Amino acid sequence: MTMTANPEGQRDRIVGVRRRIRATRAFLFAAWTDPACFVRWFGPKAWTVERCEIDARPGGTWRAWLKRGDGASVCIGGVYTEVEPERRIVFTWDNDERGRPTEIMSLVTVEFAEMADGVEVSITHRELSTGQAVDMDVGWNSTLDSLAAYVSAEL
Amino acid sequence: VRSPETLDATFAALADSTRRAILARLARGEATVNELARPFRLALPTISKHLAVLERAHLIGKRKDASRRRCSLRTASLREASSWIQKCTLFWESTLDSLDEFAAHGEAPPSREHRSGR
Repeated sequence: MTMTANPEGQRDRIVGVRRRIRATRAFLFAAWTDPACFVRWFGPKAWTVERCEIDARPGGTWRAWLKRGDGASVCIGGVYTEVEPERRIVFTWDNDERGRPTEIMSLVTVEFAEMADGVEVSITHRELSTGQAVDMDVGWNSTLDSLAAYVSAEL
Repeated sequence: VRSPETLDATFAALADSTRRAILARLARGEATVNELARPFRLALPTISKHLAVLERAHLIGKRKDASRRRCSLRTASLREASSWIQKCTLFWESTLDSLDEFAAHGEAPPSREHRSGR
């Protein structure tokens, strides 16, 4: 189906990453769904989870407050739409600090596939709203960011 | 319309220091191919090749001005690529690094009852 209410003419965007990790599916599922585990690892390197609330069942919500060493902080959360133990977790993703559902949301799917040498964890992040993307800027720099900043400053 | 293929082209185009330098130059204003070639001490065909890559990636536009071709920066692509796809990819790649590290500690999952999602 095509999205007609799409003033900016953008298509849905999808990001997919995958990694083979030496662990069991039970371990990895717990890492994502048990707050005591989640708080210990989630987020990019250099970020720590200050606290999180996780109710990993369809319709349940999650929210995590992340902080970086230099004091930068971000709040991310959403609602679980699918939770299939040790196989698949699907949840919405928003950046509302007060934890209210927002119009601007995207959807994250995490899947665990058994492999000979571990478990392949696949993460797919797709936009739900076509006009505007959820802000993924949690404060790191990249060559591209620097260039974009430079270009903006020069214009 | 921006397809994933176009975004791939954008990132491929940006993964080259000469092309980034060309973009930085164009950020100061439009320029002819000759003007762009000068500071890089590159032959015109080489510069043209770089410009073709940038044009395919929608990072620059060209217009004909009398007999000369003028290039200008198209910031929409750059901003868009920077704004979501890139950040999203970095976020999840780095988060998988964290998960990998957490798993490498070899800690058993918590024993408490956790399978409420039957």
